[in-house]
Amino acid sequence: MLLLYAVVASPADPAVTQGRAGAPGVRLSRFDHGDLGVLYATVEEPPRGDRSEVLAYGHTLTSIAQASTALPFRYGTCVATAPELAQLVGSREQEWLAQLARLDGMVEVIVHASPSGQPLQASHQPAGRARMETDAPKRTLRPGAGRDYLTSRAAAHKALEGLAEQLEEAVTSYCAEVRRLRAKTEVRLACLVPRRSSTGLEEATQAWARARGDVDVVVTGPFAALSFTESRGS
Amino acid sequence: MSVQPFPGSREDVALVDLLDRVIDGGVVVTGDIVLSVADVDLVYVGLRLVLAPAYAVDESIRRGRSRRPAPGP
Repeated sequence: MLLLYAVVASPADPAVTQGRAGAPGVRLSRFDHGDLGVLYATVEEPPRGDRSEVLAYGHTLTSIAQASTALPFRYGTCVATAPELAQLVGSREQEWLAQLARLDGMVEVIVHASPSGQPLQASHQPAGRARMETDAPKRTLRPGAGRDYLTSRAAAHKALEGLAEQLEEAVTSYCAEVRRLRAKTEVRLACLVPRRSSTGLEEATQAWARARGDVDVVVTGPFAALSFTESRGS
Repeated sequence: MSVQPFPGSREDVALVDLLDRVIDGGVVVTGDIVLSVADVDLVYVGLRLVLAPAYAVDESIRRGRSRRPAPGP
C-alpha cells in the first residue's frame, strides 16, 4: 500500500527524493508521470490516525515544502498499488499541474490573533453589563442561558469579524492569498506567502500587534500549503 | 476563570495547527463531490471519520455489537 504525501514538479529538489525530507523512520519514494512526481511511502497497513503518526506525516510535508514546491495530500490518502497511483495521476495531471503552478515557491503561514489577556467574549461586553454580572448571584452566570449569553456571543462574533478584517488588511501585502480558518475565540488566517517572505510576514504581524497594543498574535509555520489546495473531486 | 487566548507555547500552537491542517487540508482524491449536499460541507465530517480507517471502524462496530446485551424476553 502506498501512503501519498505530495505532488511535486519534475524535477524536484534531490533532497526530496533521496529520503532526507521525511520525518525519522519515513522513507520517501517517488513516482514520476510526465511533468509530475508523487512522493509516497510504502506502508504495510493503512494509517492508524493516532496523534504521533499524523504529526510525523505533517513534519514530513513541512520538510518537503521547505525543499520544493509541493501540493500536499490530506493525511491518510492511500492507493493500493503503483498502477492505481499511475491511474490517479493520469486522471488529475492537468488539475495538479495548474495547482502546482499557483503554489510555485509558496508556503503556508498561519496567523492567530486574539485580544490581549482575556477572551473576546468578556472584553467586548458593555462595562455596565459586565459589572452587573460580576455582582449577580452565581446562577445568572450559567453559560448558554438567555438573552445575555446570546448578546455577548453576538458582540464577540462582531468583534472577531472586525479583528479579522483588520488583520487581513495588515498581512495582505505579504500574501498571494489569505483564507480564514475555523476558530471559536480568535482569528486564524492561513496566508499563502513566498517562501522567502514568511519571516517578513511574521515581523509585520508582530509590529501590527505592538502598534495596536490590545492584541496578541502568534504566527506558526511555514507549512506546506495545505489550506490552498483545491479539489474538484474524483 | 481567566481564559488565555493562546495557552501553551508557540510550539504547541504550531503543533495544533499542523495537526489541524494535515487532517482538514490538502488534496482530497475521493468523495469530495459526492458528499457535498445542499451546500452543507459533509466532506469535512466524512474525512474526519476516515481518520479512523474504515477497517478499524468496522471492527469497532462489531466489537460494540458483541458487547451490547441481548434484548430481554
